[in-house]
Amino acid sequence: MTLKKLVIVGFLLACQYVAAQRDTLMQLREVVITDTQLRAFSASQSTQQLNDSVIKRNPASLTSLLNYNTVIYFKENGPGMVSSPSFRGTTAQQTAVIWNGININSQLNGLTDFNTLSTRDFKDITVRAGGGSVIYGSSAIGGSIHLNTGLTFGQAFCNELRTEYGSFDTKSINYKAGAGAENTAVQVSISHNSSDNDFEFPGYNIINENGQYHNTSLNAGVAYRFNGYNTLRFYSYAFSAKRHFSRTVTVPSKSMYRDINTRNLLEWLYDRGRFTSKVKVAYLTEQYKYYEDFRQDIYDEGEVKTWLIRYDLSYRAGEAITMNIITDFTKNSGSGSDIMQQKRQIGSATLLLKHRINSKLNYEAGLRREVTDAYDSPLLFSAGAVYDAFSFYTLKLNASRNFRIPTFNDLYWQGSGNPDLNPETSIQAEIGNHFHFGGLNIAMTGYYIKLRDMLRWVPRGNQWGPENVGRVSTYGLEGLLNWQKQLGRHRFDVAATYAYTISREDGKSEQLIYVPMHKATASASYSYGNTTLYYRHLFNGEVYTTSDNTASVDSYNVSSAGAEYHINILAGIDIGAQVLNLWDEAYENVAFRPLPGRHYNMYLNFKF
Amino acid sequence: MKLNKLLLTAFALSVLFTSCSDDDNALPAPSGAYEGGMLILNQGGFNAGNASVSFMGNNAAVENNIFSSVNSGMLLGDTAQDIGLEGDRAYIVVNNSHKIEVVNRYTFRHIATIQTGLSNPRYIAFANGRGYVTNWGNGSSTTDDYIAVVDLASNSVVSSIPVAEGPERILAYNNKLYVAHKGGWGYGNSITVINAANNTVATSITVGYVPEGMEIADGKLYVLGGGVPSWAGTLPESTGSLYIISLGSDTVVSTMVFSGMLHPNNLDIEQGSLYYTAGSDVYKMDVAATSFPSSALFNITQQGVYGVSAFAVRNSRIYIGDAADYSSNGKVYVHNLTGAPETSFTVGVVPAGFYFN
Repeated sequence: MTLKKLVIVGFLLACQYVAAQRDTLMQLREVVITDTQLRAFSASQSTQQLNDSVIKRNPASLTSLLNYNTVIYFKENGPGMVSSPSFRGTTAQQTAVIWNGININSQLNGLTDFNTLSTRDFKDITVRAGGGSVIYGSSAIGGSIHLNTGLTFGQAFCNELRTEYGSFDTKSINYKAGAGAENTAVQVSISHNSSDNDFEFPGYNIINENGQYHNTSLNAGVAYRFNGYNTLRFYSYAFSAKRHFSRTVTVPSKSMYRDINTRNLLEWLYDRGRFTSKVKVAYLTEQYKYYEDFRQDIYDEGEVKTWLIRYDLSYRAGEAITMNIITDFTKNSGSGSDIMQQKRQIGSATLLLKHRINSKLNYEAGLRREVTDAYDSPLLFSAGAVYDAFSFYTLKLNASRNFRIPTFNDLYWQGSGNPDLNPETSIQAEIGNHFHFGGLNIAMTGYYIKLRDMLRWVPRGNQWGPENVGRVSTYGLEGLLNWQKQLGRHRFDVAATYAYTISREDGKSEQLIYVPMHKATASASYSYGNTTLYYRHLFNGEVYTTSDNTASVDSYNVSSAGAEYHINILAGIDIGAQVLNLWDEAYENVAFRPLPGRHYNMYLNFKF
Repeated sequence: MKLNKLLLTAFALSVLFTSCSDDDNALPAPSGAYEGGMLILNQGGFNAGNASVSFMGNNAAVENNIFSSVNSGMLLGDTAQDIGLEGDRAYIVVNNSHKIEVVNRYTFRHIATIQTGLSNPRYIAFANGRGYVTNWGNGSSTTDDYIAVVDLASNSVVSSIPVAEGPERILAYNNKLYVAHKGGWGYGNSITVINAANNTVATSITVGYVPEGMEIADGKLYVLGGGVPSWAGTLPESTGSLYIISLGSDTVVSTMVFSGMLHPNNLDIEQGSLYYTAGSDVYKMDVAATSFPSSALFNITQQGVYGVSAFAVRNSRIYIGDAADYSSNGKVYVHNLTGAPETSFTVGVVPAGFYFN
């Protein structure tokens, strides 16, 4: 087709042009994100940004990316299946996922399934460890994961197409386009992932039946600058998945699950003098359908629609002080086959302050208060300091009170919901030691979290229902290491993480279930010219599967290795291949759910 | 390079952690002698894959996890629901694994696995040389419930008899089968009577809602209804009941309804006394009594027990299963007939039934 050809030629020209001028233009362009607090009010905590090359060399699920590159532990019911995190020994509901500054944890169950987000849609994924409820609201206790859509003014038309193919007919395709003019920026990403997922359970004569899945997502951002002061930005993310839920060693399965989630955010930014004002309106929907038998048209469903209006005003009082006031109003409407139809309204006000006392010492502080008729909300606070003691050493201190609010399921589950619940709250503190010597960065953070009024579903007579019963104390140590070295055409990259975690019910000596005491990751890559070799390793410690710690899933070591070659055609082509589970380890992450043995993946990445 | 050493050390340590935990699963050698005594079926957690069978001998010695340890680590499966004892065999119905494990009841050696033809199997009874297994089909479908007929010689399902929604407990008497429709994911109120001679439904008897327990004594069928719970949504809450059915005529001869709003379960009849539980209370009444006792025989909360997950009365002992938090190992409490506690021991996850071998 001539039109198509014409368009493709147009693309090629556009990107060639950019490639030629890359060096000069790069310095002028700034990638802007809307989640400004992530950069401005997180200095006293440990943040870890995962860059584009790390994102690309890991599988497309957010679970794999974070499992292999961060301290976060995941309980995953097999590749592509339901996956929930435990960050610093906390529950899945105590980790928040933030999309462009908006908390997108499910209103129904309070957590994010990390296999319902495709990493290919984001060029910037940041892990912020520790308390963040003052800024990000519910669930930011263990930490928060930030997915940002970066927008760049003045960017020429650029396209990127990535295709992947691997064992078990696992396919992934992602197309990204970015374009811009002086006052316009557009970023679009479309992904499709699918897999038959029919691997054999190593050591068993059983195939992972009914594990097939596919998902499609669209992430887009548009910004338009009217004049020097006013900018309109619009962000949109849609995700749709159909997953069959796979069998275990002991349970055959025929169930299926559909997710459809949409997130939309419109923002008016006014930036003049000492003031930056942002008015945001967001509309989020989440919807699921669960089929016990995929062959029958009988399902359970649930749906929540959320409207959010936020006003965010920041004021720079001189060079040293920044103040930020955020007020927002959220309205959730939920319905479903198991929950009573309900509306919930929450208002909140947040005050943030950042002060640079001198060139070595900064502190930041925040307060947040929520008002709602659904539950009693505590006053939240955070306070932190950063002391750049030496050129190679920075000390960080942070203390905060955070919370996790009761979910729609907790409050309104048909017959079992408990309308008298209060939020779970935490008091937590951490000390971070950050060392930097040239290309080497090491961060060591010790933390302590005291959780009160934990929301648990417990037997009440003949029936189960949620209560504010548990008290849990969690403490641990995290280490992060990064090392980069460029020697002529040789480049070395090493990254490692280690987490030691103790998480116990008060008065008990048993570790909470599915919280490993030890977890470590390591990755290394070596590039020479256009060739890159990389290796990554995960050690996951033993986890207990019963609260009396009498049953457990063994620890495991699993590795992957890959090679990539960059070809200087068009704006660049990367061709790569990976061996996953290189040493063919037979292992389980969840009891009786073996994971695949050695398998393969290859990819092709075009820029034009 | 120092860094390399650090990494190497880290990996070496991680290998160490792995090897430390390898020997956790060693089981003590099983006795393989289970004649007499009591089998305890531990349901395990739903989707946790940890169903098991415990055994308490007449000498009070307890052995846990006997199915797995006798059969070289073979897994029993997920959510064990019932054990049927027939001839020298035990048939263990494993609900969420959709199968029946057939073992020698005295040695627990594995004989066969019945998988084909079962869908959410619940309970088993035996008549006319065959096994009859209640099946929900898909829990979400109200029209696919059936009784699977098992040929005990070939250990295979040979036919099925469609029945109403949610068949649960099943008893055999005089070449007939009595199937209690507790209702599956819904709430039932009937007993289906099946003629074992021709495997057809003979009649249906309306009883109180949610038949939790059935017992046969003196030619009568006692059906304990739990009543509709408060959270049912589709039906108004209703109190429990006791229906007595004449097995000669298959008709209801007596109906007793609990006053107030009580949701009893766990029916057992032993030595002319009828026992049931409600919450953490254990009640005892004469089997011929025409009214319910006004007070409980005893209450188990002083032992720190949540509720009764399994219940039986045999040989002047009352056995109570306690599932604790439904994740960790459960306990069995033994009381005498006046309710005084005698002993207790730890079993597997969620003890759900006692079977006297």
